[in-house]
Amino acid sequence: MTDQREAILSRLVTICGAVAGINAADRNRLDVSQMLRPAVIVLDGTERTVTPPLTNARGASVSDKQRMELLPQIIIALRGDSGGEAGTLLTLYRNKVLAAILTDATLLASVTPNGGIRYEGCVVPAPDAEAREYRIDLNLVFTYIFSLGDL
Amino acid sequence: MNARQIIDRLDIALALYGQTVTLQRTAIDASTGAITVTQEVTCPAKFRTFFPQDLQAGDVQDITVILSPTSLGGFGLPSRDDRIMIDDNPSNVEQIGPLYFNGQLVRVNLLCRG
Repeated sequence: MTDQREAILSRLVTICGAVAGINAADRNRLDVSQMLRPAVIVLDGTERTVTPPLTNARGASVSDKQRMELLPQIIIALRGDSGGEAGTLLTLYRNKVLAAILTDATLLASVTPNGGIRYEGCVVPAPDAEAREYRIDLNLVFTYIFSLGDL
Repeated sequence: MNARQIIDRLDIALALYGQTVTLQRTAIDASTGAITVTQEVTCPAKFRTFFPQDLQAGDVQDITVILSPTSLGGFGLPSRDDRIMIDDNPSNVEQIGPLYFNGQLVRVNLLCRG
């Protein structure tokens, strides 16, 4: 069996890298090599319990399974210039990346019938005054079953 | 001392102690975000790199660059839309500090990040 968390995260990088127009995708880095743009950076983010393992009347665990949420941070970075407005491009790649993630059969299979993928919104941080770098952070929640037997 | 002498001194210093860099003027495709290089110039420069003094691992660094107006030629004064390639690594030009003597450009300081 595969660790579900790792399966989801590594698949995310593959999906994002395959989106048309994206020039680089990397994981757990502050920037991609050669500052290629547009680029996607996937940060592993937070994993937390949603439903703890079942317990008996004495509180002892009777199952090795629990429902988890994974909240990776997906950053789309692109370069703008003084000739145009970057917001349109941010929206374009937000749509492309979201569509690719939310419809990917492998990823949907990774979250099993008891889980799911939920889009929770996005944030565009204020750019540095001097920079031509723009980014949008996508917030997705992956719910899946964590099983001790998968480790 | 006049502007020409200041430029000549800078040119000699850059030739002796500098390294070759490439300035690139870029254009962004408004429909895809793809970056294309529309103009570039290769010139000697003196640069110094500053690594951020924090505990978070990262690849981003600040670089100060000194250029001579002699080698910029038709490229002209760099702008914030430009990039600089140092040892084939691209960095963004974030601040441009042109220095003038008696109204003539004698030196260009850049603050780059990449």
